[in-house]
Amino acid sequence: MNHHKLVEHYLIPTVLFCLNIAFVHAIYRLATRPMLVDFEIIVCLFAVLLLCVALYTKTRWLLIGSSVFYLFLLLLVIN
Amino acid sequence: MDNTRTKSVKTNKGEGKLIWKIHHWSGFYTGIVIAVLCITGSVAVFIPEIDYIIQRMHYSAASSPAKKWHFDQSVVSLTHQYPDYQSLRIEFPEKPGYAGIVHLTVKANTAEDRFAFFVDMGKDKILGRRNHQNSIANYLRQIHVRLYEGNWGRYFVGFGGVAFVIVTITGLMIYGNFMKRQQYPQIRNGKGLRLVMADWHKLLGISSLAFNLMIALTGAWLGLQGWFKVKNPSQYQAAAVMSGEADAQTTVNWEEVLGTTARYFPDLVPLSAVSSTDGSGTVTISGNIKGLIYERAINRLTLSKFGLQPVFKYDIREKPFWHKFFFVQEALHFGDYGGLGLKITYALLGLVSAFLSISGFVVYFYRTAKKSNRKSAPLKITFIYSVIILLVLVIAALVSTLIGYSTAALMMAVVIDGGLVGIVLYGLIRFLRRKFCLPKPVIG
Repeated sequence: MNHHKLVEHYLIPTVLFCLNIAFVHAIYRLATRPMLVDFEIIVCLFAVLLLCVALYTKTRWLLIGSSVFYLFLLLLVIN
Repeated sequence: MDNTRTKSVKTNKGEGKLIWKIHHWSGFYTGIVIAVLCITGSVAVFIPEIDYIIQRMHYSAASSPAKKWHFDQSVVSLTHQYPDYQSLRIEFPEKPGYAGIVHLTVKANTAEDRFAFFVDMGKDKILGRRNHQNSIANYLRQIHVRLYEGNWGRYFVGFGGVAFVIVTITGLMIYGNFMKRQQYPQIRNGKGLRLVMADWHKLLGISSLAFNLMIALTGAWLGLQGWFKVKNPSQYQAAAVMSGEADAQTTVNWEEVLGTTARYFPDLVPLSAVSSTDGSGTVTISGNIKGLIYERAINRLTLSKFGLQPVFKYDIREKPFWHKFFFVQEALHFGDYGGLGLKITYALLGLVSAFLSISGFVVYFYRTAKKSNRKSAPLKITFIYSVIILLVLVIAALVSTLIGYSTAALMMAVVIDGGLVGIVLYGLIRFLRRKFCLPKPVIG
């Protein structure tokens, strides 16, 4: 599979999928804990930033890493 | 080896074509319903805010500042005014300044009237009343959840959700094939409106994929619950201990009820209270637990009217996975768990989903313009269709608020069922014409 196909057809949709959830997650946390800056909010905002940077630079490992990072955070939060 | 590869490429192309056909036809036949649901949903997320503005502007309904809510006298005077009321529900203000609402279902000559009385919860004073069924808030909810068409409308919306799931998943599956060498988020400007629309369709579709999938899945689930007879797992029916009339006339001290609720269920943020009229002699306080994503007012505490002893408690945190799964759907669908910021996000993403339907139609009209020998421009046709649909929605709103819910429901039944029959007949006639009337091509 060539680089273009992997990045454009698979990794970018995955990052966008994660970004949808991460963005809503961040807004929800900011709304429900407005006075409390906690670990989850900081990590969630960092994940949103990382996903955006990955989307902008389109670096293969950053795209994979940011998606895995956020999905791992989501699993932790759900559990 | 080469033969196997060629076969595999051909199979992939065949599968791609099939998936594209599914995306195309499901989008074509259900696109209008999806667009209507997305547009009405984008407005429906703001129902409490819109209703609050209407209450303030039209009914001058607001609560005076107070440390505690006072509404006992108002409830007593209303139950004296309507002694044969069928049900009584009190809606507590969600924010300071909001008025409380006492919902009374009263027997009318032929049917029931559902009145909503606004109460100043600071001064315990009735401020005015409206018929809840004919309110804008009810219109916005009913048009989104059932297109004003009773149970059938609810299932119809559910099937719309299923179609939305299909177009979203098939859209993802054909995304790669349609992007080819194109890069995200490139728009091919200057190459005609068809390509521009197609690019926006792909760009926005893939960018809002998770949101669309979530809305579609939860929408299908909520719409088809009745169809599959899925029972609400929180249902509880207290045993009758007296007659319905005696129960309705048994009053409670609401301040004490709220105090007892705070003692037995401290995390509950009360949203509403129901006083029984079925002979069970109970009051039920429903509300949310802050920070949790579940359906509104799903947590409940039922107290006996005599002595205010708890008889039933429903705390979602203590319930099994099935209950949590059941009640997370509506919250995720309506997005009321993250404040105004999240509602705005939901509304914008909902409009994006509506745009996907519209842009899909524009692309379709461009693609089939030559074959169909259409005289009007694709954009013009789409615009006319969109205006007609908006007009129907506005007329339904006006009929519902100015004339009444039942007239609006009748009108929508004619529009929706008539439209459905029309589409089926159109498809059938087209099929029969092609099969029997058109001349067969001469071979050789």
